[in-house]
Amino acid sequence: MFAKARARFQRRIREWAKSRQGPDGRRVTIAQRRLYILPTPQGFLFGLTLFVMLLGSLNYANSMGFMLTFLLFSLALLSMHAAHANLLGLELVAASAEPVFAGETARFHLAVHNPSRRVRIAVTLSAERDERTVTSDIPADGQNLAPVPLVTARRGWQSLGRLAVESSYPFGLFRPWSWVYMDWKVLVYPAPAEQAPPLPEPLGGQGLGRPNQQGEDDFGGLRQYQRGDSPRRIAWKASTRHEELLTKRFSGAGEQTRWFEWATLAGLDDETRLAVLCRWVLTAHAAGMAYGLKLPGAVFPPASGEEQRQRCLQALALFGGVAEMQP
Amino acid sequence: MNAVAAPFGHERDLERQRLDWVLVALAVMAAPHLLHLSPWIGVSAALLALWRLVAQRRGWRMPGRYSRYALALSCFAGVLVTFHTLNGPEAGTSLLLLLAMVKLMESKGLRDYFLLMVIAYFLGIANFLYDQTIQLALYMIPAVLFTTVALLNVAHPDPERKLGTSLRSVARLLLPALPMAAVLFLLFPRISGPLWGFGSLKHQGVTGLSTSMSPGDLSQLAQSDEIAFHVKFDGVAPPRSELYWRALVLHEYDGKTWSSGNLPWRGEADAVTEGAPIHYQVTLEPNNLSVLYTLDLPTKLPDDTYLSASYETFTHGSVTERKLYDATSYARARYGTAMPLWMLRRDLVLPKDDDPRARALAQKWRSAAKTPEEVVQYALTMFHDQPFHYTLQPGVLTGADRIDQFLFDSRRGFCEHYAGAFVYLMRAAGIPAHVVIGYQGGTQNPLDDYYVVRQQEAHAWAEVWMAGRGWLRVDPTGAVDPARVEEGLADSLPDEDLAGSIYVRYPWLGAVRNSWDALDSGWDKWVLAYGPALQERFYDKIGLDYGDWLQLALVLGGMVAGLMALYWLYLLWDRRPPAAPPVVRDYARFCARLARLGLPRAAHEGPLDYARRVVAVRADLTETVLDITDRYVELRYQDEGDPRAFRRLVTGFRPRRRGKAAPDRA
Repeated sequence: MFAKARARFQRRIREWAKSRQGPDGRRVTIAQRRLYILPTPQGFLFGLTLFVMLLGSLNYANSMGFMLTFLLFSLALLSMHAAHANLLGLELVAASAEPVFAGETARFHLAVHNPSRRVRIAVTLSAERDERTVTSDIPADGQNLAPVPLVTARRGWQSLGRLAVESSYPFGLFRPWSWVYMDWKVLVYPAPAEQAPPLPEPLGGQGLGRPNQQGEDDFGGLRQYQRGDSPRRIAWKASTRHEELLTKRFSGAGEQTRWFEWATLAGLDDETRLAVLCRWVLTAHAAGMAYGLKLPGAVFPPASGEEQRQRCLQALALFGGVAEMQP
Repeated sequence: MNAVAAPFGHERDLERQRLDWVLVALAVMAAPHLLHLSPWIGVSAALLALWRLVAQRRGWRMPGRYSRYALALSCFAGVLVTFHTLNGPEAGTSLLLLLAMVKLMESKGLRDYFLLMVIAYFLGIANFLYDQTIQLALYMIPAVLFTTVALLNVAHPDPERKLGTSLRSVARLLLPALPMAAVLFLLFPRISGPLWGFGSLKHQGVTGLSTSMSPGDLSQLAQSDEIAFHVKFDGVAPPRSELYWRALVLHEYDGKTWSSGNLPWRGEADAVTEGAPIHYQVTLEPNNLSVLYTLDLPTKLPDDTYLSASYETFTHGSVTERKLYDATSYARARYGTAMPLWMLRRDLVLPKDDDPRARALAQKWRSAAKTPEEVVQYALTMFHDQPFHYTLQPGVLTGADRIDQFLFDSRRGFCEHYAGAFVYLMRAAGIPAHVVIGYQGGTQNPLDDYYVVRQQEAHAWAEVWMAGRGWLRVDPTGAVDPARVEEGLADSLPDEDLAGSIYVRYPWLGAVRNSWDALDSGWDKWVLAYGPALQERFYDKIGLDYGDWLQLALVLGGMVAGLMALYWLYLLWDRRPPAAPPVVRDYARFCARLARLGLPRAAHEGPLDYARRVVAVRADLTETVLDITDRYVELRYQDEGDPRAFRRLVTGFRPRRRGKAAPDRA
């Protein structure tokens, strides 16, 4: 019940902050009005200690006790300003966020600029939906790249949500923080299936009307052995020279094209189908094969290379018009 | 298992840094305590800390929960055995220190270490319960600095951070905190009297006046350079030979030790006075006795004190804190003229059947003399004419008949020997007599008019009672060695090792000591004694009403807020944007001059575009404008060229307005 009330309170605070700050762009300056500050649990403990010290000094009419108590009190009070100023004026610029597979950690790279003459220390960034933080010092008149982690659960667009910038430097008595609501998403591919059926056999002659040629005629070089390569294709002589297994590659018109089709995976549920297709795309890409992808409503003609991989994975990620993950 | 698993890698480095700094903080804050706590406490704390340090380095397992409980219990037991209590400052600080070390055995993470930091600060402030000297205050400055550096490194450990960086960061906070602390110190309302009872502070090993004297034992007191009290006279001070500071009167002798005897009888201030009164103010160091020192013979006493029948000034509790009091005395005064015989009787008692030679001598004097005064004179003449020697190393007297041993065999002694033997002889001759202990002398500090009386000036003398005249002071030591009374101990003992004698040999050292004493007494008077009374005077001086709490709260709050605002401005200034490079500033000057001609540079405009636009309007400036622009681009973007030549060029660039008729558009 207490937790519930707390959660409700936190939600109200968040809404209040969001409504008074307004939405953020890809570049945010931590200005006075969006920088909040509260004592930490350590700060409260320190305050209690000071109170006991004051009582002791009063009781023993101890002048030096008063002096030390007041010095520590002033120090704590000034450290509040110091903590506040440690964050004030920093600029956050959204840099990059590479797509990841569901279940992996996405990294939202933010450039933290410090357009001032004093180094900013122990600046900590974290996404609301991830407990992990990244901390670094921001040099004077310089910047640092902070890879903010965000764990992903399912495929689709995942937005960063609320970002917190904080630092309790110098003494950990006060924690100033700023909330940033950047409209920033990362693409999450489906998690590739752990156990996928073998790749579909190449469909000789069916690929875009190309004549079926003897694929093993045109030797196209060597590549690293990958699981699933036919032992007949291993270049045994070359492998002994390079101290690793090498597989002969055959290219050109003879390269076989494979089609990965949604339809062939009938009987599985949608997400599993996508996971299997994802695994196939990855395997084929790693093997340098050309492949095509057929999804209901979308066909990606056979090709190979990084672009094809991205195209296909994105289509799998966004298949079925998945709703965007919102906080 | 309860053992704390050692963290790996980076996390472990952070833990290590936290541990190191917490130990630094605990060490610097606990160090002064170790001087007055039982040695086993310091040794155990150091061993536990050392073990923890090695365990951290070697990755040893921390002790389990039950081992820690056992350790904590043994700490409690040890403190209980040592102090017989868990209460009070001494037992409290011992317990705090030991339990901090037990806590250290399970500490990991920010919370645990922060708690230990708080304990370190507590130990720090507890130091002031024992000692508030300038020396300790000076020690505490770096101690607080390093403890606060520790706090910073515990809150935000960073193995890359250098000590100098931490020190500078903390100094930038501590320095602005000082004026605020001073304001709070002066204005925060003080109260008189404790909020709860004082814990008893055992002043172990405190030197001071002892309440008895055993002339057979060597006195260590006479060697001590410590200050007993300060005196300030209103008007002219009496000569040194009259500065007899009366403390206690010793009535009883048991063959070895002179002591006060029973509880003192209360007396009336019935002294017969002569001459002018002497008003003076005494700042008494804690003596842990319930007696105040007054100049012989006091007539007006401070409040809350009472006078005994022997003119001792008693307080109602021990003087455990520095005490300031006013008193009035007369140098020539007699008391006890009407003292009843039953009261005099205790000053005639001698142990049975001892010191036969002294008794025989006294009997001989008594039959030879016509008046008691003559008996006194016989004794003083004996001390003066016979080969008696004043020395601080008289050798030990043992066994029975000590007075005989001294008077007829060793004949070496200091004030206690002479006063004791004299009183013994007087009593044997039937004259009421007793020993008075206190101080004799005092050194004036030319810097602040204060007389300083040190422990080494402790003295013992005698008083004899004469019918019709009352009690008269007789100082037999003066008969042996007049210099002791007139010039002080140092002059009377030129060849003996004496704490103060070095100052006589090297006068400049004396000057240093005088300045130090002046500083010390200023510290006592203005800093340590700053309480409700002084604060009221300070409020008065700055125009505050004492007792108007709202006004005080407003003033105090306003000043703190003002200082915080100043600090905030400093922080903003400290974090201002970096200055543009000189080349950019020079170029800005160039643009400003063109702007005055009505050709300001647009925000989006690059230097080359701007130059083209300017030249299009002002063909006459083409050469210079293009030259400056080219050089600027080279300096700024290719890092080539001579910035000083560029500056000269910009400085020399003083374009004039074209004739007013000239159109701006080409």
